[in-house]
Amino acid sequence: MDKNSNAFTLTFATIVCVVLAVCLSATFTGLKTQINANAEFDRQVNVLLAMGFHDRADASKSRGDLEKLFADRVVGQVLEVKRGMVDRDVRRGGKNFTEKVEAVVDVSKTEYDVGEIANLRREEAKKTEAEQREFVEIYRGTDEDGTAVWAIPISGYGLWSTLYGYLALEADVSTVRGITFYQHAETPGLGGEVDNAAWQKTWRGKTVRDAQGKVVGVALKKGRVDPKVDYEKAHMVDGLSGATITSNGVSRFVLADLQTYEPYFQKQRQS
Amino acid sequence: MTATVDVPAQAPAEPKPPLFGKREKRAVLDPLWDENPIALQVLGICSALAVTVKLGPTIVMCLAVVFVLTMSNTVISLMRNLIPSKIRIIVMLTVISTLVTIVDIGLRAFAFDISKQLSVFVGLIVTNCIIMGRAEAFAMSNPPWRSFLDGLGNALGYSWILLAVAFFRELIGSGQLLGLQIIPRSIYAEEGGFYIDNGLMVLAPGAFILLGVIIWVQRAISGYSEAN
Repeated sequence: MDKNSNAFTLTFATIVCVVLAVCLSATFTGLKTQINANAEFDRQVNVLLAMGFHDRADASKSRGDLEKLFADRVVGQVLEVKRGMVDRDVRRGGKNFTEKVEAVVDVSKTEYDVGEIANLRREEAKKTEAEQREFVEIYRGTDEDGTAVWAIPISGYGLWSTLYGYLALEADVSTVRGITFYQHAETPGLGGEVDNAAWQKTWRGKTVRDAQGKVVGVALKKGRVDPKVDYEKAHMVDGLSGATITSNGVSRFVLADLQTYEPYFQKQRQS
Repeated sequence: MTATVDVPAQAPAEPKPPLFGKREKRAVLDPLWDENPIALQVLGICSALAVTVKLGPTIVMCLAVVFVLTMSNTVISLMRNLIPSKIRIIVMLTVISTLVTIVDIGLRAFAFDISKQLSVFVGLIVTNCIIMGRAEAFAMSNPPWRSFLDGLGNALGYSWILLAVAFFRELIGSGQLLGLQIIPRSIYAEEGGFYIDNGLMVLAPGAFILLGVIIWVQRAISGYSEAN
């Protein structure tokens, strides 16, 4: 048969594609459980990091230790946004948890092509965050002295990708305890600096509410925070150099995600 | 590309080659020194700069490249007499990207933290010029065993340079090797000593300088010059 005929070329290409696709899907299917378990553990570690129960530089804790720490100190819960209620029976990993939260997350927080993002942003702007997500997850941790620590998942668009992370608040639900990001595809060295531990530490102690108790979030200032200006000192952190769009994105979605949890946090403040 | 094509594409009545003949030895040994893909051909620079901050991830990156390069060379060499020449580049790319995706999935399953550190650079092995270069220049015209060895040789030639860069970057930039403190903490400025880590080595320009020095030393010893 003529190796350069169109028929042979097409047949050859098809066979190569099918064989390689089968190899790929077999590999992925075989390792899927393991990968999902790793991703779940990674999220748990990030909740612990945001809450300050664990430090990235601390290599002494094994995976088992960290899983135990999470189980002992942290409870994952599902929040119904409109009512501001926590469903106390549904814990992270429980059967109902997956059904409720994963279903909602799948619809509203999947990753999109870069080209679709502009469209989506326009669509998203019309909705409030609360409308997009009816059920959301929240983590309640217990500090050494018994006080509560809250961690909420934060996510939103940066420049190239959706960033996923956690923001932890002290018991007063105003003071930031920590922030982490566990998944993103921003430019390494620019937007990717959201992973910079030194920068993440500057979030600690910032306040997400103004004097009247209204949520203002924590904004990334272009340049450095001026410690002489009270508002900047309380509600701003340094922006990321060379990453204006990532910085603006983080400011935007941190505020939006905080607003989602506001009905529930208001109840916490009153009680 | 300085290709070592020394066998015609279709040699019908080739006698059974010895397992480690002269050509096989050259396929492994040449890329380590005389035909080094980084030092002489200056290929694969992107990852040489990007993943060499710490020795640990670099070792994983090198293992990934060894796997992808040997396998892609072998697979493409097995198919070399069947691949229609007009789609050969696309076929090579499909094979290479499949192998890279398998490595990526494997890392996510068995070395999750390292796969996060390497992030996009595992995926970017697809675009590593060494791999395409060897597939086109060697595997398309040589039998599988020799192509396998050529892949191994080139991957190792790439690896030793990467490891050398990472060794100095981690040592000078962080005072550590594989995460273990090598330079005693007591001589650091913050502990009352005089020593400060060289921050330049943690950044890409530090890798550029080191790589330049390594290429210079390698070429000075091997006597290679662009002119001849």
